[in-house]
Amino acid sequence: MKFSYTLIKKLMPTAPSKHALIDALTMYSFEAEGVSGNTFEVSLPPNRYSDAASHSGIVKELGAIFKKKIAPLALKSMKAVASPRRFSIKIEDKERCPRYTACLFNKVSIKPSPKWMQTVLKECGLRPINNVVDIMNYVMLETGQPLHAFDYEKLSGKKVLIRRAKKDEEIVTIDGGKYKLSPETLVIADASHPVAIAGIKGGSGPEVGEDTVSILVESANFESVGIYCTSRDINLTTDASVRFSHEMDPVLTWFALRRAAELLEKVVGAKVVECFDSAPRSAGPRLLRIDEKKVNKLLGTSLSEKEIAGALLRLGFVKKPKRLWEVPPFRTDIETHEDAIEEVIRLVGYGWLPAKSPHVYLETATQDEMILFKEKARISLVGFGGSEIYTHSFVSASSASADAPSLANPMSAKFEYLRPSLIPGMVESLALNAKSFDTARIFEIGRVFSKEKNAVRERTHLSVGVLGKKEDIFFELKGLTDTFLKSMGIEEYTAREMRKGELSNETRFFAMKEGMRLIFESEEKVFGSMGIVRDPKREGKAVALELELDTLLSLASGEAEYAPISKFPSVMRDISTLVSSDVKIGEMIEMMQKTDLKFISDIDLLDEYIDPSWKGMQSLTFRIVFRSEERTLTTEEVDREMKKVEEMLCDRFSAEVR
Amino acid sequence: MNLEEIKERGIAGIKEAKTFEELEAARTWSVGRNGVLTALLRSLADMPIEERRKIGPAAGVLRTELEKLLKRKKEELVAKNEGERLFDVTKPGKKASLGHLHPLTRIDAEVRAIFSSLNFSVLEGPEVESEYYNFDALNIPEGHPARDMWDTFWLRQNETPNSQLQIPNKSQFQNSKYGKLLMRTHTSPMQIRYMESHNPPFQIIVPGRTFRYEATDASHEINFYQVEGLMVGRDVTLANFKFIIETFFKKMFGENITFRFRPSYFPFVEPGVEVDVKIAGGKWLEVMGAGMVHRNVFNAVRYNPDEVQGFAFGVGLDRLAMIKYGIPDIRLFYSGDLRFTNQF
Repeated sequence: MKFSYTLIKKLMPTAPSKHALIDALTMYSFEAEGVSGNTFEVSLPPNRYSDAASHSGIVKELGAIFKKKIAPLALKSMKAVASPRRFSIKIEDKERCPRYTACLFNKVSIKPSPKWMQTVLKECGLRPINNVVDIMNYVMLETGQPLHAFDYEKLSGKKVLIRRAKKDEEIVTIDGGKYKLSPETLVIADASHPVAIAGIKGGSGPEVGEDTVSILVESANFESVGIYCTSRDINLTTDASVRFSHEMDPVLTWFALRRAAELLEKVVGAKVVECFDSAPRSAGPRLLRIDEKKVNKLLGTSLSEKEIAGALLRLGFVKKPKRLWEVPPFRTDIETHEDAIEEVIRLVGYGWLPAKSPHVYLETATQDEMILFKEKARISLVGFGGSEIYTHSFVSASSASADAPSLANPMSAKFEYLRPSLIPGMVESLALNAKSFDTARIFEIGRVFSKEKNAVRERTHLSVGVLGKKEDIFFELKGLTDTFLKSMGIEEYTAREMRKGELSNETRFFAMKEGMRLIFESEEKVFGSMGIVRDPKREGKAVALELELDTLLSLASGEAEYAPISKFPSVMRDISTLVSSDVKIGEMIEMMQKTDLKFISDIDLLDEYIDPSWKGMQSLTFRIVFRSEERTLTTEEVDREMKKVEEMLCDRFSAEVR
Repeated sequence: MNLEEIKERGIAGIKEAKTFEELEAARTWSVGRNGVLTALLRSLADMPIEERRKIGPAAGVLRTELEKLLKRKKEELVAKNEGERLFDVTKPGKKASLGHLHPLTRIDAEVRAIFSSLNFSVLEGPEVESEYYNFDALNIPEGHPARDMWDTFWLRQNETPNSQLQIPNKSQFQNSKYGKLLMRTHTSPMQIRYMESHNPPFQIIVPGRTFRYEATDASHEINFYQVEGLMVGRDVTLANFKFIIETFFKKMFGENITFRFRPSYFPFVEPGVEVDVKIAGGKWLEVMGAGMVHRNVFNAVRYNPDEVQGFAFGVGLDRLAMIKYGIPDIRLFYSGDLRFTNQF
């Protein structure tokens, strides 16, 4: 909100320089910032509009900070009646309009406003119009209360009605804007039609013009939520709507009306004819018990009663007996003793707040299992030479599966859906990094989302991408995954070829080449998958892996367990075979393993060779490691086992063994 | 030439080679593109099936064997050659590849370590939140302009993003008590979630990703990271907060760090403060909002606000990382660019 240093100086001749004032407000009240010339900007907290969205409010703050007395504004003394003779006012919706005050003035002559007033308006970003309208705005700047002047002569039936708009009713505002109103909208109407959108903007009917001679000035209070919602619904924000949206004190209405009367008389020469007030009885003073012990208990300070009282008095609190304090007018934000305590400490200055070590009972400080699991995964992946990335949580429609939740108000189509997988982000990163790197290992850990019945399900995933020149990187990543899973405590799992059509609706496969995808599962739970990335927009290759960390966490075994180191040597044998090239190597290894679960401790593929002239055959050489935990295996024993393997390979895979 | 002969001559040729040239000649003769063994393998296809069965595998194995021998001999020759040269220690070392953690991960780990050392427990919460936890329970009721302080991404309701999946339930994503779903705008909802199921005294921190509906620039992103802190007990004071946060800053940025408190407003704390840190060039940068937990928040979780008190704070991790590592643009964190990550 913009403020005029000229007006501040006028209300508080002892005010410090603009620069010092801005610093003081920032350190003791709320953030302020200098703008060019005599203007400065204040970021008012939403609960301080009632008292501080005005120059007199700011001056009160400054008075409290700099310990200066502030002279009150000059007010016209006048009386209100419940049923005036020259006009009538009826409030149909008292909830939305807790207080309505109005005053009829005659002997008005419309002219430009004086220079000093125009200067202040301009410094606050307002355009001077004429003496009456300018006084309305000027008083709003002084007091915070928005005011509105109607041309009395043009007010149909001399009636003012505060009511809900009728269905399809319309209004044209002073600046020519046309608005369709709904029964949710509160309007000010005369006998025939709406003349203002209550608390937001005046209408073009009975507005003040050059020929105006008498005016009805409105100073009303409107309920904040109603104004806030209307302003949002019709997409119209004004100085008035901003203030009313933040809950103004109803007491302000009469105060501001008296101030307007004072200026109308002094500046325009207008005379008060009659005043109205719908709720002249105020709620009475609000009292708070503020005791020194409570203040120090919350803050951890040792402020004396005198220091506390000093701060409160400077802010306009009035001391009453029994430690009760009367809250200053307009301070709707002060409701509890904590609110008052904040007033004390900010005026004393947070610089004086001591730093004290808390006294606590020691308890075990824990960390979520998943936090530690993620940390372990990261350490492991960095050990594999992986570099970590973070990508956005949102993806475009082309990267969203059917069960991806979406945003009602996305920033752009690129970020419309909640990511159901980390793969789209990984593929994008692979393409980007391919421009700078020939080879790379990349990983990301983050949340992914899916719709499930009435809720959104959130899971933690891990993605790994590998860039390289050859298709070998598929097996590089497959091997890396195996070691990684073991390091995470996943001992038993299978990696199998993805079946046709399986999981095909899942986002993560959108970017992977068909027939080159692998599924990881354990205990019949799928926990991950990998594949060759389609079109990484470059030469060379990219593969990507995604693992569900939540599932892995549930499968992971806790501590590693010691197994005795074998005292007996292992025996290695190589076996070369010629088999049809549609035989799956994985299957061969699995079957070989099964022929002897006792002694075969490892099987590895040593060599594979395909000669184009062989017409559908491949030559495969395996290395089999035999080991016993109990004794040294004899050559005969190993020969026997090898024979079993050979026979199995012949029978099952029609392999030629040598 | 039969297999036996190839084997004999092939092996002998390799064994007798004394130079790279001789070894290459031996290779060309046997397994080279026009070598005798290669020719034999190629002719397999034309042999009768019986013969093929017999010779095929044997020829394959011989090929493997010869290749193995070739490789070994080559290594021998290389070793011998190098032995004649000086061992040049000034030759550049072989490049070893090392992985890199994202700077936000590093900061997060540091924050967790510091607070763990101060006896704070660490937990996480959901990134998709309900209106109730993100706003209402935190004393930010609907229709209150205070909500404008948080620009919010709302989740689409009643509508399925893709015609393939029709969910008939009209009240999808809507629950009467908890309200509409949104991307959490801060980690503060975890204050409520934690207090609903725990009793004081306790001290926790909650790191996590948060979201704001705002245009991106060098200091704003649509997603970023926060750490929430909450300490509640019978007599946890604002002065205690100052101690905790002073300790935190000193461990994070060194003993000479300067910070200040100034008044601020958040509906879920009273008093509320903003914490600024002095950065290079003497400028103040706000990094944290904090204060004493508002009694309405305690009421929402059925604590007696006259019996317990405590502080809460929220600190931006991105901002801490930017200060610590001198990163000028928040968008770099989410770029997925290894030229960025690999600097850390």
